Amino acid sequence: MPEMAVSESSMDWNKTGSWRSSTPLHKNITPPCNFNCPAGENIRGYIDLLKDKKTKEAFELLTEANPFPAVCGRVCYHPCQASCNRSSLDREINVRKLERFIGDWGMENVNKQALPPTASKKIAIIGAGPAGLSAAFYLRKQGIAVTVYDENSMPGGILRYGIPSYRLEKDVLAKELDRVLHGIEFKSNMRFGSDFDISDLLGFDAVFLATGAHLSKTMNIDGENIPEVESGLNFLKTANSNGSGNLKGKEVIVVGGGNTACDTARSAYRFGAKVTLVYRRTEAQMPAFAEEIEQLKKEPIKIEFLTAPKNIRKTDGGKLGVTFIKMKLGLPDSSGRSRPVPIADSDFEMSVDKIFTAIGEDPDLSFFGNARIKTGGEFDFSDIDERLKARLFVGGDILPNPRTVPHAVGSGRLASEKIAAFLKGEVLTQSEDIEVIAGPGDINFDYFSMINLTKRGSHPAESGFANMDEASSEAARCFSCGVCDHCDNCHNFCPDMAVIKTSNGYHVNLEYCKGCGICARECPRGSLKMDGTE
Amino acid sequence: MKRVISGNEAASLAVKLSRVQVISAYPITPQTTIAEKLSELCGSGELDAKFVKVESEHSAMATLIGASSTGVRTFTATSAQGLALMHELLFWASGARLPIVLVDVNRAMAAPWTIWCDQTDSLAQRDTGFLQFYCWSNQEILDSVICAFKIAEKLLLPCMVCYDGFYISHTHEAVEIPEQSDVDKFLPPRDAEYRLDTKDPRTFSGGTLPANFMEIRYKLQKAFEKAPDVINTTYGEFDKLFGRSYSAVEPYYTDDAEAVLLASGSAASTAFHAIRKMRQSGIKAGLLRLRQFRPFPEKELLSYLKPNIKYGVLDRDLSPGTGGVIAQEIRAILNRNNVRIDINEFIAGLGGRDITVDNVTEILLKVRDDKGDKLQINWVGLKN
Repeated sequence: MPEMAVSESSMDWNKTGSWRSSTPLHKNITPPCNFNCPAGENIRGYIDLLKDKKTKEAFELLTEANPFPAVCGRVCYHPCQASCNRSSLDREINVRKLERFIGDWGMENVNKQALPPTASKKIAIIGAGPAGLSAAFYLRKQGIAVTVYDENSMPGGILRYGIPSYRLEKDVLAKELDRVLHGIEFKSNMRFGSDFDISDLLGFDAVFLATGAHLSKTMNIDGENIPEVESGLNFLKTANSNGSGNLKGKEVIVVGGGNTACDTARSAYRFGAKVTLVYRRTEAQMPAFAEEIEQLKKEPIKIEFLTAPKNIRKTDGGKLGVTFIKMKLGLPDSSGRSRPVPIADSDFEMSVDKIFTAIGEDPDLSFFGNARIKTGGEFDFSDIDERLKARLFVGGDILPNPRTVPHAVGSGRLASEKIAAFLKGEVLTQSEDIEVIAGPGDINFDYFSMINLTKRGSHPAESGFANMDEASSEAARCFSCGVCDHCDNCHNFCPDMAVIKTSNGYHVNLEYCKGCGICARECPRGSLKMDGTE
Repeated sequence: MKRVISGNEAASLAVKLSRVQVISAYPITPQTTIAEKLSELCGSGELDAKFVKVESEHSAMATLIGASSTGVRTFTATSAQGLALMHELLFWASGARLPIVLVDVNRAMAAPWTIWCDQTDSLAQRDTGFLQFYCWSNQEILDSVICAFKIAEKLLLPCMVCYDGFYISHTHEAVEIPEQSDVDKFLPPRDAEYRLDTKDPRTFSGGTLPANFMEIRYKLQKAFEKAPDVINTTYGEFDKLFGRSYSAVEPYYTDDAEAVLLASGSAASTAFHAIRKMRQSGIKAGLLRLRQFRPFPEKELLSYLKPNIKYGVLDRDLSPGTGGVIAQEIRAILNRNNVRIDINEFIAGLGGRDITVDNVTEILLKVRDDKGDKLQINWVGLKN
């Protein structure tokens, strides 16, 4: 008998697996950044590559979902960041800067990507905005010939004509468009319905309609048609096309609370105007992105909430006389936001030089005769010319998705997949698996400590990471939520040595796993769970 | 090479010289500077050991139990409430026969809150199955820690080396630092017969039925009974290599003494000084220094305790309801061996109150002049 209580021979015979009431299962779940990306990027994937300074691989992975990393690294509102679990510890990962870093690397290092030769299939795309060009890019990559039509002289759509250059530098856009349009036929100054029509599209195997939403909504008040009352979108387009729009010393009112209103107000200020933005609700209800509002508030722009124009008239001095009425918030409307209710006898007057309206946009579908979005957001294909109907796909801002660049990119790429399937005589089927999202509850925060945070620039277009080291150290902050990164915790902590390392992950030896759950508890990222079986 | 160092630094250097492989400790005054020094030595690479940071003394001892089970040499240091927090695991360490070495820098047990010295903390752990040694100099600390590893590993028993907080831990003395090569000769790497090994999986200290538990406990007692021989052999080897010798009990001026004080730790060094002064005045006083408390040195003490001499026992501790722990142990061995000697029991220096030369002189005179009217407990310097 030994001095201590120790078994005299090996305990291998004791198959502790027979005690098990629950089995560990290594299964990746969806990181919230990936889930929330409207463009469908594998954000966790490219952050991991960037952590190891594999920028080329990161660029390739990112552009599998989004051909515009340099653009989106500047203009996307990055819902990935808003959902980042790291914000429960110190601060979210700066995906914006990482995406921009990859995009900028691409502009410097990726010129014309090799493309397969085109086969017999031909696709027409109407609209050279982010949706149309994303569809074009992914179809062309599959060897499908693509012709893109646009009413403007240059490609880019909203990227070129809507987004001001202080948010998206024109040379960045030009470089990225150059790469995206490689191998694609672009037909400029071609407005569907006037410069070409359905008969010109009959030679194509499929048509993707992505003409966006460019019709400014009207205010329905007196004086709206006075020439000095202009749509914000129109102003942005002119300003972005030729830089004209001298507003020096002019008093300008911008009506609205969305992104277009913010861009219009900030652009008008940059052209020398004294700007007042009026919005009929309060800041909390503004549909603009939070950071747009943040930036707007930093500018010397006056903001009048709970205010709406009532009528406009030309005064003798050539100025515009505007009557406003104050509002208060009432019960919620169909959008869930509080309905603004006019306050009796609260009228007041202002005298200004110009009014820009930016209270929302609708798609211009006049080439089909009438509006075609059914309640519920589906496009109404009925009574479209039979020759086109079966081959017509629609996406981008025409559909009432959130009208953002990444949504347009995602919509364009999805259209490319639908069209590719259609060309093979198939219908694209989407996985019906319920996606499990890794939330803060899936993270074992004991394994992460707060670290010095990278300083962030004040505006997306104004700064990026200075170098690879900065970018990779930011990428290294990522928790890898829900995605196993082979940290070996499950292997190291298993008291039965039942978690065995394999060439590409882990294998649980069920002969010995007694289901204690320590491995799952010590998994820092929720990619290992006890599944309750056996 | 001689260096002037503190008691805590002496302990740390001994740990380094002993080539300890895993250290885990939690800071507590007056022990903290040991953990600090060792973490520095681990950090700089001077000591090739894993320093495991933990959130409590309980975890520190748990860590060492795991580490020691794999066959490596382990060390921790603590004081007072920290030692008390380890209590249940101290039983585990001895029951599992793990030769963990622990330095306890003696500090009184709160409440009321205190950081100052007495020995109640370690003496209260007397039933946990740890060997216990008490030092009175910085040199002895260094030597005792090195010896402790050898003794512990031979006996498969955990070992506690104790010394008085601040009086010794934070006092600087000249200490002879042995050469690493000599220590290596004295203390070879640990060679554990049974160890946790993933390639040869075994159970350690698993559920043991009534049919076997008593036998395991019997073996533990036997190990303690074997300890005096192993300890003496080790001291002999140490003496040969380093020229310094130790024993469980050290007598000073006892042969012709009329009154002898039994004391340990820093109080014993004060008593030593007081007795030399008393001798100069012609008072025949003597000292028995208790170096070892577990196993309790029954044989050695009996060889020194004589019926014609009067004895006082100085306890810098209190077991409420009984009195001094050491006095109680002395009475037990006297009774067991049918030796009729009356002892005077003194409680002194609790919670860091100084035990002075005058205190010791007073105690010894009281012992010498005892007419059999002694009190159950004499409280030294107690205020009204």
